Amino acid sequence: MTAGTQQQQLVADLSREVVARIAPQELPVFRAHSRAYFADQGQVLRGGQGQDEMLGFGVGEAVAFLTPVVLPVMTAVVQYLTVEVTKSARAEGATLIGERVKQLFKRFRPAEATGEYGHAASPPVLTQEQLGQVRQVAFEKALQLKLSAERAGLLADAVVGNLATAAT
Amino acid sequence: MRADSTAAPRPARLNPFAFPSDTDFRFALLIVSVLGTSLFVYNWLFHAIPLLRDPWLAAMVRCADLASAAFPDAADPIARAGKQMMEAECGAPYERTRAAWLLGGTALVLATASALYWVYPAWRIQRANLAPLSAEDAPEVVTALDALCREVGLARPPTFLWNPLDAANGGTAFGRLGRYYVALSGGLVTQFYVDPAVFRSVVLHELAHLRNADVDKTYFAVAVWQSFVLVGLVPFALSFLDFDERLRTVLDLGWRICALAALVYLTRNAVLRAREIYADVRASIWDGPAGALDRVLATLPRDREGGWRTLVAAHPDPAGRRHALHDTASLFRTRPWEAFGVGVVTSIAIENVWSLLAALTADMLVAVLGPTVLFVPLAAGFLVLAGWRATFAGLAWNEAPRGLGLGRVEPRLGPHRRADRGIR
Repeated sequence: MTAGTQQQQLVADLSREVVARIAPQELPVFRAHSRAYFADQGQVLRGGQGQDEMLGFGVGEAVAFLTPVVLPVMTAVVQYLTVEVTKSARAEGATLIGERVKQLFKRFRPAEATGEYGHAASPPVLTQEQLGQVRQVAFEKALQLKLSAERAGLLADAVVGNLATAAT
Repeated sequence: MRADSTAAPRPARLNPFAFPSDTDFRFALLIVSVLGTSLFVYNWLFHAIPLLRDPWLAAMVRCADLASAAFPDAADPIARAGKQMMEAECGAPYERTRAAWLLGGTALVLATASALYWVYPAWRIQRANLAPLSAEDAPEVVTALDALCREVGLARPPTFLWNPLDAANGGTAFGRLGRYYVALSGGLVTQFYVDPAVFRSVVLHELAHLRNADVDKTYFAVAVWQSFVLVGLVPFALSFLDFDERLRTVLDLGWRICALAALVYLTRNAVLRAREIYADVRASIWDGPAGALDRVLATLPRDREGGWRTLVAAHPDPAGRRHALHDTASLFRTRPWEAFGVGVVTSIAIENVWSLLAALTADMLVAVLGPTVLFVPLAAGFLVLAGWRATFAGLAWNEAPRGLGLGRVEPRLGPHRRADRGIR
């Protein structure tokens, strides 16, 4: 698995988790959105309304999907974290950096006692300041993708909520 | 949750499904109007294309000359009749060529429509990126769809397709004879988890189209309009490019074809509007008084212009649709424009079929009676249906129908309306 593919998989996994938390009704459409996003990032954001308006029937207003926003937001967050981890571990290879980024998230965090890092390399954690920066990255990206401030805040909180902090 | 308009108990509704539907009637009207108009167009094309026109014209002139030479005494009625018969016999093979052209043109319109109707589902599936909705995608939704098909008693459930990327919040029933689909948007599938009642109402509406058997009529109506434009109107317009004709002729033909095309288009849209109301009513029976159908209809954008636009629109006015959920009177009423449309369509068809039969047979009785036998039943059927429905509604509501067909049967909401023939 290349570093790029590894990062895509990480973004997809984390995005799914965020969607499950703040818009669980979108889980059935998540896989398709994720696949389309990684194939052509513009396609998902443009969305698509393939319904034949003349012969179709339904609610007047389209659904405002959150998944197409979560994916690029999470991409931005993972990219930010990659830069941060790289700064503190310049000597490590790209794959290893990817692993360290993964472990910043609670979901991928190994148990302290059995972790692969053992005593020599404990799983990384983020400071409160870094967490604040991650939230800002997520919030701004969501606003840039035309999400309302309220929903952008909700999304940014959900993203940050997935991250491991020193206290966890 | 119920909208305000459903808060009051629904009065019993008369069952519109006891009668042939407006969808069927308007569809028949559309086909007849396309037949009549296609004959008109292809008759013109015959005279506009030199390759067809010149031999026919030369033969007609030659036959007239031969007949005049054989029966020179124009004052003698017997000679005049003989001359006419000889002309007709002499020109018959050429007239048959013209008739074959007319029939071929009309058949081409119908064949193209049939081809478009047949390939449309595959085209739509590909264009709208539709894929089968599987249990792997959304198991609860698939289970619910199966249950809905069983609940409404569909003999053969449709194939459910979806486009998960489609944010619209609706569905569409489509397909062709023996193979039907219901396409759901990704937005509607998510709605299943947020507001299941809305999901149910939308799906029931689409299943109602299948139960009302209007999918074939709808898509054939759409296809026949496209075909009419493609192999009728376009060749007609092109014929003027290479035709040195006086402006007056061009204008004279132009307004006729515009009026005929408008007639076909309006009739097509009338089919599309009628099917929606019937599907709403059918779905509302299944959905029950607590259903969300009225709520869904309330979200549809309303045409602010109103008036004549409602006649042009492909979708009925949402307010009228909501009203029909509680009161089906509009499905028992015949509007003046429908009667007018029947008159116009029948006249056009009779005139053009007469022209066709006159080219096919020298027997004037057949030529005159043929179209009458073909199309008068249509007009008569319309009158009978209009009268039948209006009388039924009048008896059910203790009101005498006002006039035949054109009478407005205004249902009075209130305790005096009889509910014994209603549906709930």
